[in-house]
Amino acid sequence: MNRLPSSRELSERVEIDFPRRSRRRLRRRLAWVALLAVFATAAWIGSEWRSGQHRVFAAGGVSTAHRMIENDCGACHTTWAPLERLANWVDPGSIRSIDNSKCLACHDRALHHRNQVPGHGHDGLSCAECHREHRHHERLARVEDRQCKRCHSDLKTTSGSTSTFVHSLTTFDADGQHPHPEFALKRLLLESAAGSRPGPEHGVWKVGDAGEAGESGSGFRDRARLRFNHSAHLKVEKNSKGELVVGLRNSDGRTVDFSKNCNSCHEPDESGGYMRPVQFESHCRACHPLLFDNRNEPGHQVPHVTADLVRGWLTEKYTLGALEQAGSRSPGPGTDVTGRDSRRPFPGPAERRTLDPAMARDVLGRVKVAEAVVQQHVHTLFGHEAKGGCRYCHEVTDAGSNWRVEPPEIPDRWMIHSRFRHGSHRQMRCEECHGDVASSRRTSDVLMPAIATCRGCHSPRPTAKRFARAAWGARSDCVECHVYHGRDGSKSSPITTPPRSTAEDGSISGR
Amino acid sequence: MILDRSHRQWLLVSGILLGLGTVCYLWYASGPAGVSGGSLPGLIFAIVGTSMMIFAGLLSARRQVPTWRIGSAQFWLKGHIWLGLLSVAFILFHAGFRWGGPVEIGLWLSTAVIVLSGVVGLGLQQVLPRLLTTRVPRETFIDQLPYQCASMQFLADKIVSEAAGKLDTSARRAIGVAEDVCRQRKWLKRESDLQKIVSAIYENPPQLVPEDSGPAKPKPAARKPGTPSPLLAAQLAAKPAAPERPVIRTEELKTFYLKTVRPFLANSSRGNSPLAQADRRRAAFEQMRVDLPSELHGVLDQLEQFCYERSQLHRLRTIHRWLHGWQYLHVPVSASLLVLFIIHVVISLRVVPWEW
Repeated sequence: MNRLPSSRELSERVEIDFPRRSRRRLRRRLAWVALLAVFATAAWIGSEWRSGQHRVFAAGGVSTAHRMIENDCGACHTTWAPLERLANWVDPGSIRSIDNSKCLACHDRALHHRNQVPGHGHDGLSCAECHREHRHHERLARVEDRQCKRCHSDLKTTSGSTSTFVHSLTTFDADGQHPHPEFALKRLLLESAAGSRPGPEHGVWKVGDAGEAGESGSGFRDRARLRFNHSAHLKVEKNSKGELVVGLRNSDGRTVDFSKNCNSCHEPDESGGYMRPVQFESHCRACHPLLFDNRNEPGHQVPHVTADLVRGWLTEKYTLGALEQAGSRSPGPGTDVTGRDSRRPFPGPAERRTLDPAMARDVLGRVKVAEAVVQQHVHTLFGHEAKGGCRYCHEVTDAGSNWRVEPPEIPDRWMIHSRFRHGSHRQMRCEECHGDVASSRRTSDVLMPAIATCRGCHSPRPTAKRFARAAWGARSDCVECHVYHGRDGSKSSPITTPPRSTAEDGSISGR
Repeated sequence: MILDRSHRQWLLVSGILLGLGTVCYLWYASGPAGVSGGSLPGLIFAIVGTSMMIFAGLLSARRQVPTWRIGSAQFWLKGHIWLGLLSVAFILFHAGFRWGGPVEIGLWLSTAVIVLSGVVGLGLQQVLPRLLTTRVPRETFIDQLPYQCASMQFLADKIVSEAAGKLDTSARRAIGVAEDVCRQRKWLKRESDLQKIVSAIYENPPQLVPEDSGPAKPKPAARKPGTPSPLLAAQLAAKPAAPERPVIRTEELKTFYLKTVRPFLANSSRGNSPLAQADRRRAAFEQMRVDLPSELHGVLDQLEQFCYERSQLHRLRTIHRWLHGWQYLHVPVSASLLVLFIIHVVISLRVVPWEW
């Protein structure tokens, strides 16, 4: 049983003519299946092609903004460019699949910097060299750091000077070979901060000035012309029961704690990126009334406008008051017993009533008194002393009747070479970045964070060492904070030099 | 294809090429322009990788012309394996390790399936042929499985019918191979013998030889040494037939054969049949030996041998499926890859597809 068969037995088990017959059944089957696969593949591609879905041939998904033209390859590409490149044996810079003119047909171009070397600018680069499409990126503007390093690793300018910006910059990591320097305004503030002094073209000089040496570090200070004491506004004390005993008093006379409510004054804008300018009407007037004649006009305040307009407003108010008073003292003919004018008016403009010289002098005198009151520092309101008046916050140029309020010149943006979103950092407390606010007594104090604060969360990709200490997290690539196009203030720039806010618009601006 | 020392040269050359390609890629990828399949270096990687893939794909064409002196089959097969694997690395360098769009994703998936199925096939080829030798001593050509099953059925039918009388069963397939089986065993002296043999086995056999055909004239064949002379053969044939053996409980044998053994011997039987398992098969036949008289034990022994052979053929078919089944993925997907590859090349070079 189960013995091995002899060769004769084995030969008897095979058909006599088997060697002559085809033994390619497996191959035939494979050929048929392969043919089926070819037809299936061709049918798939053909159906997509026929339906105009050219994206099937694309080298990857396009960015969100280009989805509308993802089936129109010719909108961006020129034909046969790679073949020409191969035939001529040249690099992509010589023969491009994407012509810049096709990009510029829809997109505005803005220079990065006036001083940039042309070869490193648009004349020598294709848009597609930095903005790599077909890589499933949501935003093409988020370019890789290597594109920035092409110039910033060895910065050259048309003027030959690189004193404005750092000559060599390759990483945000403090431990890197050429790390991002300390923020310019911090370099100016902190004598110990490493890095060169920013050149005169640097945007930091648009938000601050050198001040007096020794005043604060190297003397750099906030150039805003407004008196504001953060410390006084945020000062609070509590008793042993936790009740607030020292703080700001509101219109009801209650003591309130503003130290935990920065957003009482600093409100985010619609985009959530930056803070709206602080508005006097909504943020200041309640505690800092602009009273002008609290004895005769209790609680009445002048508008928060320029000195000329305040003067005009006061003149009008007193003039109308004087006319009304004069009219009520001597009722003319035609008035009834109640003093109402019962005469039928004539057609045409109403009769203009004017002040007599005595009344006018009286009005001017009252206006001057009110103007003097307006400029005072302290008023009495709601039964307690209220600090208010133009001079309390503003620099008032006193030239007799031509007094005027100097514009506060508070910048909307402090670090104009970068962009920031407060909304993305809403999980943090304000003092985690603006730590010196509670102790700041002067407007000239620059209350911006140092770069080390940012590096606490924004660290490069982890090396083994970094991974071990888990000191990495948020992105730290260049475009996380900086933009390329229009950073110099051209029309398509998403970042422009901030306009100076003035007292005319009623705002004193925020940061 | 067994992986042995003869592959060392291919391994060495492939390793050197991979190293060179990697160095070139790292240099190219560290450049400011980054990696792009359409750049000149990217296109060169594509050309090199594609050339390797084409060489690997030409193996099937080489098999169509086995007599051409264009390298041995071993050379082409080794090239198919090593350059096929190496081409994946160069295509990765070309693509910059990115998936690409739908066509490119199709190419990647096809390549992955081809490489994985090929590697699995290569691995199976290291193991299964040895397994086949040890586990299936009665190995045969896979195309001969239907014939062998039918011939075993016919022979088993003949043995059982001789012991238990004619079988009342449909035996078209078995009768179809009867002539071949009889000729191989030299049972046919004349053409009408086939009809006689079949009629002795089955109750209602089909007419295999036309009735009006006369007896087949024996061919004047040269006498081989040791074979009886025609005269002696005629005398032997004229001997009176042996008396029929007494039929002893043959109905049980016939029933067991027709219901259990014969279906298992068929080509269409399943490998999970009880008779395919050695212990259950042995137990079944031992039980029959207990039930049937000793005169029929010889028949049972022969039937058990047929079942043993059939179980080996089941195993052969299973191993054969594993040994060659991967090609049902490897080959069709390669054909798909070829189509996608042509589309990718043409569209990538033109960039803008033609309007349909």
